[in-house]
Amino acid sequence: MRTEQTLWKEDTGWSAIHPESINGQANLVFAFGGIDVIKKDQVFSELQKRYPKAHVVLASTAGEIHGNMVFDDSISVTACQFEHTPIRIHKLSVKDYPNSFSCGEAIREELASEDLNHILIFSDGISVNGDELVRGVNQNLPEGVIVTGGLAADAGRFTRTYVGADSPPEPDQIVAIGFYGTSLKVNHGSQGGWDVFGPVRKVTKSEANVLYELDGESALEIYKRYLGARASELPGSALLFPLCILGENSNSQLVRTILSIDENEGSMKFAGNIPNGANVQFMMANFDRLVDGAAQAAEMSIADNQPDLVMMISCVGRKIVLDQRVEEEVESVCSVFDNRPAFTGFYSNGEISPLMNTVGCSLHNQTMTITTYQEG
Amino acid sequence: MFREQNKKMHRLLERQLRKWLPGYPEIPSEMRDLFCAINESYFHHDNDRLMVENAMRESSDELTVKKGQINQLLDDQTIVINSLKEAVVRLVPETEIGVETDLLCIADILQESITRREVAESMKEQTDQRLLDIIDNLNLGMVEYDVEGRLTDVQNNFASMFGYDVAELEGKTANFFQAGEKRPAEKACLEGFHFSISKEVYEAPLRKKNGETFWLFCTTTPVYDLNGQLTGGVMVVFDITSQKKLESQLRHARRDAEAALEVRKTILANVSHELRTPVNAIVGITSLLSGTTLNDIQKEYIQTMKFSSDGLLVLIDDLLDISRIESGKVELEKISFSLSQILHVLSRSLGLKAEGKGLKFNYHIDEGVSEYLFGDPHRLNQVLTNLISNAIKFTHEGEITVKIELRKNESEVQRLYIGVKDTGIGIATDRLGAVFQEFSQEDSSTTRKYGGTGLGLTISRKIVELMGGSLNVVSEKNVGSEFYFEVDFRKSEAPAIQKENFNPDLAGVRVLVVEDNPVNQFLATSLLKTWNAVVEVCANGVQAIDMLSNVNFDVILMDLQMPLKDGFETTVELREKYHLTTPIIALTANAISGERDQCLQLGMNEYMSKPFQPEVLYRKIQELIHKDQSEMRA
Repeated sequence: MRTEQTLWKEDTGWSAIHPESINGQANLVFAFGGIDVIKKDQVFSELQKRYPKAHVVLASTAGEIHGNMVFDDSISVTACQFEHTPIRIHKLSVKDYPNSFSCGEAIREELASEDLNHILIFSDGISVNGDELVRGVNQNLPEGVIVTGGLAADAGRFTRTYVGADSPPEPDQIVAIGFYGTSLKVNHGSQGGWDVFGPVRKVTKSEANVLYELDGESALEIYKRYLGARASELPGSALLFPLCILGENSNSQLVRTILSIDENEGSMKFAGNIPNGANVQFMMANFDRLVDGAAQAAEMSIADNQPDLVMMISCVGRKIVLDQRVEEEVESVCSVFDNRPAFTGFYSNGEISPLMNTVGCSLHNQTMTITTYQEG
Repeated sequence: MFREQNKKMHRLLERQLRKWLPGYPEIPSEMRDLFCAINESYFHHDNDRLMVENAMRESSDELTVKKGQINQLLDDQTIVINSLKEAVVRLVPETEIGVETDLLCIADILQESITRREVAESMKEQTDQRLLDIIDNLNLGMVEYDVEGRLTDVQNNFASMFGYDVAELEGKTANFFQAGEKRPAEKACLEGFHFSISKEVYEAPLRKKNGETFWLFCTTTPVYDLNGQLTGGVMVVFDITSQKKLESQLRHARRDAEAALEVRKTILANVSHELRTPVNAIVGITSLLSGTTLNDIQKEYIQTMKFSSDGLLVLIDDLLDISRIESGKVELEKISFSLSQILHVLSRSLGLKAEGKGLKFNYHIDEGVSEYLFGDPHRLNQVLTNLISNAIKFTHEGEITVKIELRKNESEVQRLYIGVKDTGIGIATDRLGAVFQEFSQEDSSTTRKYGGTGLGLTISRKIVELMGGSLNVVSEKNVGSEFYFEVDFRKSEAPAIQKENFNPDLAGVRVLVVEDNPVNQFLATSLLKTWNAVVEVCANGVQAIDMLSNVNFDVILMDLQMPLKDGFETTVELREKYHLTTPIIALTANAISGERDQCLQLGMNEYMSKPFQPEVLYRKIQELIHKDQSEMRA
């Protein structure tokens, strides 16, 4: 496979394409951009004009990863030419289905076939319960199919996200890309790097991904107390204290971030389910560990090949915490690969990736999730 | 510049710029973005620090509170666990629970204890079932009931005894088993059946479902609950219908046997009469003979004859009254007698018999044995006669010796050893005890060879026992036997009535003899006439009444058993119809106990069984005449 990349910025416009090798031969194009620019019609039409044979997939972000740098309000474009790997795109609107689970089932039904190798999902990041979505996809999925991806973001505003394929991006959309055949080698890795702190609490009232009470106390109040002065920045500031759902062992820990809050109900909506009765604990950033975590995710994904493309989907929460140091984690990922593959990705409202050593994929929050591609 | 972006400059950055940037507060334009980023990162860092500090403080507070709660909980739990441990030790006494023993360990102990208990319960159930099975197999019925006597648990056997299903009996009371009763006689019995809440044992007839009556043996016992509260009772029943039938049969058999005994008594009474009549004659004639002038040899013959006939009478009496002897109703006489005289007579009668068999017969009386003793000479004579007769019977050569030895001599009483020793065939050691049993001889071959009823030794032993002694035997087969006993006798003076002084005289006394037997008529009239009485005779009651209505008599001798009108009827008629007060002396050949009382009750004045002693008859006549005369005078 071959790739080429270009970056749009408001002040500088499109950068030179690097390397300028495939041009019109690209069959898949990823375009990740700031919420206010990616949704513009001319972005899609320009990309379609530039890559007429390609499926163009677009998603809004909370920061674009391009090479070893992180940008805001830019458009990062990566064009790929898969020579031996058939690709199918399935796009659906959340509104056409009763729930997120059904959306997942529809994706699996649409894409599943004997030679299905990998599914890459870009989903709306506000109206979709990522947990239910991946549960639906996993249902009856043929063994060995790797599912990764991420939820689109809106720069930490948590109001509206955009996703599109072969048309200008819109809210409430899910795009899934099916990769077929055995030529493509797909690997993945995912790491958090957050530390748990404070008392372990039991979820005493929740419905799916909406949390009401912890230990019989309003969860929102607890958050406000812990955020102190930054409670006024909710829901964004809640990303500083993601919730760790404690499993029976440390390997099965899941991290959840807040999508929105409801002051009237006193509830908090998370990117994934918060099961009733689960034990949870607050998490807090440790800068060095966040950066190390990203590098570990890269190492997990490198396996024994030298990938052509590295897709980094990191969490908006990490970006808020790391702030000006956010590029450190991208640099640490890039430094793991010494064959100079194309690096792309974005800061998301949720990462989709299998847990370590397990088959079914899960929704993650607050992680650096890496998928690597090599066609040979 | 920062004011334009609505942001303050961080104090640290301002200090740094003031110190290190020449020309400050002027900032070169190309450096503004850089300082802006630095300024932002300073604020960002401060915010992060404040937030983390706040979070840590919150967390710390929360953890402190939680720790306090946990400590409190721990204290509470410790108390709970300790009391749990105490409970476990009480429940499973052999367990060792230390301070460090944790809940898991206690749970294990409890689990094990529960398992053991379950096993025990299962075993208990099996045992209970086994007991029930045993009760089933024993044909016992069992029921449980409450304090009101309502059945709460009916065992299958119980129900089937009555022919019911278990379900039909649940909640029923004792009345249920008495329902449908028709015969009042049994009704009374049935009401005895009840479910008692105390310990009781009784038998009751009950009614089955099909109406059949059967008998149950019932035992009841109270039942208490764990608090000692009486909750009801348990009854175990056993069908005793067949035993009851057997019992009834036995009762009938006994009634039959008693009837047979009654028949035997009657026969004996009749036989008695038949036997006594001829013996009576012999005794009477002998008595008359002894009153005539006789030479010495004749006197001795007559005396021997008299003793023999007396002995014969006693023997007859014994046979008749064997049942009396056995029931201990025989009363011994207490009169003065001469032991030496008895032995002398015996040596005459039996001695002759012994000599006839070529045996020597001798007797020995210790010096110092009182000539006269108080006692029953006839019974003693009977015993000795029996023992000597046996000795003669079972001895073929050698001698028979009667020994009277003085064993103890006190002022009033003498203890005598009386033994009869022979040199006869002897008795085998293992048969020694049997010879005293009724109708028993040493063995059946003995009976064939020597005859006899086997009653003699039994009667002798009973008599000796009545005398206060014990008849024993020492014997050696083919060497000989000695039967002996020891008895205390009171010493006596010479007998009150001396025959030498007996000079009867009834001159002028009119006597009516009512007697059907001609021999007895003859005997009585002869005797009375020797006493100079005026005697008339009639053969039955009818003749007697006829005669008495015409002639006055001083005394009437009335036989009891007569044709046409017996002595009883005649007496009643004389006393009640004719108001005759003439003294009546009943004379009877029956020696049936109770007859004397009957005679006196009917209005007779005296009672004598035949053969009577002439002296006694004379005395009684005398007494009645004088009494009658004194009453008339009065």
